[in-house]
Amino acid sequence: MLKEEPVLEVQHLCAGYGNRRKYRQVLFDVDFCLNRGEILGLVGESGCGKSTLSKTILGFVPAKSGRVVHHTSRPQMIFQDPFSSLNPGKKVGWILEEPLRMQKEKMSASERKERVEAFAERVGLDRELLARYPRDLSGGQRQRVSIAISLIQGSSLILADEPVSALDVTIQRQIMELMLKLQEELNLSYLFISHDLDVIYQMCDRVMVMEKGRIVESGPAEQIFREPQHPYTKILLESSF
Amino acid sequence: MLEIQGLSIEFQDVNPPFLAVQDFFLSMNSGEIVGIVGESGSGKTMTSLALMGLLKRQAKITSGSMMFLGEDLLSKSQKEWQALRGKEISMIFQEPMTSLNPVLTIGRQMEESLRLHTKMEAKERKKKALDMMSQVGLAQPEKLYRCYPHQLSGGMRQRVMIGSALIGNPKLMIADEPTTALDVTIQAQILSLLKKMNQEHGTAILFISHDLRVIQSICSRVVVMYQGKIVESGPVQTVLRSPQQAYTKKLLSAIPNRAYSLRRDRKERIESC
Repeated sequence: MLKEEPVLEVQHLCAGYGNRRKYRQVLFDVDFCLNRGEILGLVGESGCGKSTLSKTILGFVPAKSGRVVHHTSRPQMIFQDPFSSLNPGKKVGWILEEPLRMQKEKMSASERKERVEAFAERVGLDRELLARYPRDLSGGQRQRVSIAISLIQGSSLILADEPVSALDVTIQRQIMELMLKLQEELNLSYLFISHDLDVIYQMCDRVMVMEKGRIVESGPAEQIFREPQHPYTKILLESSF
Repeated sequence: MLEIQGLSIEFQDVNPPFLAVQDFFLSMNSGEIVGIVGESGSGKTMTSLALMGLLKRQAKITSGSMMFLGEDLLSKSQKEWQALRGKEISMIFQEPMTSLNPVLTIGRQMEESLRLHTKMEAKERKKKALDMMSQVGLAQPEKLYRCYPHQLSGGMRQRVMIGSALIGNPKLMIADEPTTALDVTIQAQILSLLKKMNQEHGTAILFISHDLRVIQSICSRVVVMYQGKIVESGPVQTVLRSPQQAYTKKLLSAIPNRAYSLRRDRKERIESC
């Protein structure tokens, strides 16, 4: 990381839900920048706006004011519960191939198959699992599938929304190691959302703390954890073990 | 109070039968908080379902005995189980959204066990429910009494679950991953609530979790399970401070903590190459 090259800029972003008559603003003046190869953590309690922020970045929720500037194409998302985000009626191989069928640049069936197998291997999925259904997979394997889906189109910006929160500690560790390995191999940038402060500490370069839709504190992970400045950050740190 | 000996549970709908729990031992005194820890599939939930008499038909108890307050649980009929559940033994689950009935009001669900097990009048039940709701830290109980589960946040729903599990004053409460789906601040609140309830009502708690951090903060003893078997058990401090088994050590080392950073350690290793 010699030069800081932004891949995502969020500028004074305000967003929320509802219509003109009844509007509930969720995000207030959110402003940050994510650099290439960086893992930026976002922590806060449920309902604080973490997920709304990632949805606004992807354009699912319209911004009320401010803006989101993407410097890469195809930001992708990884969700907490891979079971509800994988199509239960299709085999894993088909699910992995879907983003390739959807994209503009056409690929031949054999090219697609080759790429699916390459990415399955990359995320540590046995080739035989490609012929299975999501229900046959364990939670860890399903999360590997969703990581492969997010990367298969060649995305370099990944929004990971609580990617390890639903997993057991041993599996959690495997997925965290995998995400770090992929980050190094493909020079990815992650916006890593979690309510688990220890996970954030282990994974992230920089951390942002969000309370009620506002970023109340941000800085290098070591610094935030060692010398929290904002009272809310202090409460968060005290209530974890 | 509770004495489980040599319990084995087998799934008989697959060939060969799958042994989910093997030779499980546990004895619990009243007022004690004991933890069962292990990863998913280790048999912790099967054991707790057996204790509630809620095992699916395919799962058979093939050997062992379960004694609760001097009574043999395994010889109980459906009817006898119904008299026991909610009154003597109650259970709270990981996901309060799926285990609360979405079409019944909070008040009605709080009162359920009183309705089933006592001859209380409606007014008295309501009074008791409102009282329990404030005990578990739900503000404005009168208003919540008429609400439905979807109108509540995750932490509030979990409080409702705990309240309705405690309202019949059970001797034993089984808590299956009660805080796993919750934020750290809410998690801390729920844990101290459980501790408070344990102290005030003397309810014994069997606390099931995969998170050793949580187990450590609430339990006095812990049982570590792996692939259906007990690999280690003892006082929490002893087991966690000097684990004897490789699996317990692995569980301990996998806990995310702030003693080191995976990310920064890897970076340093790469840069030094």
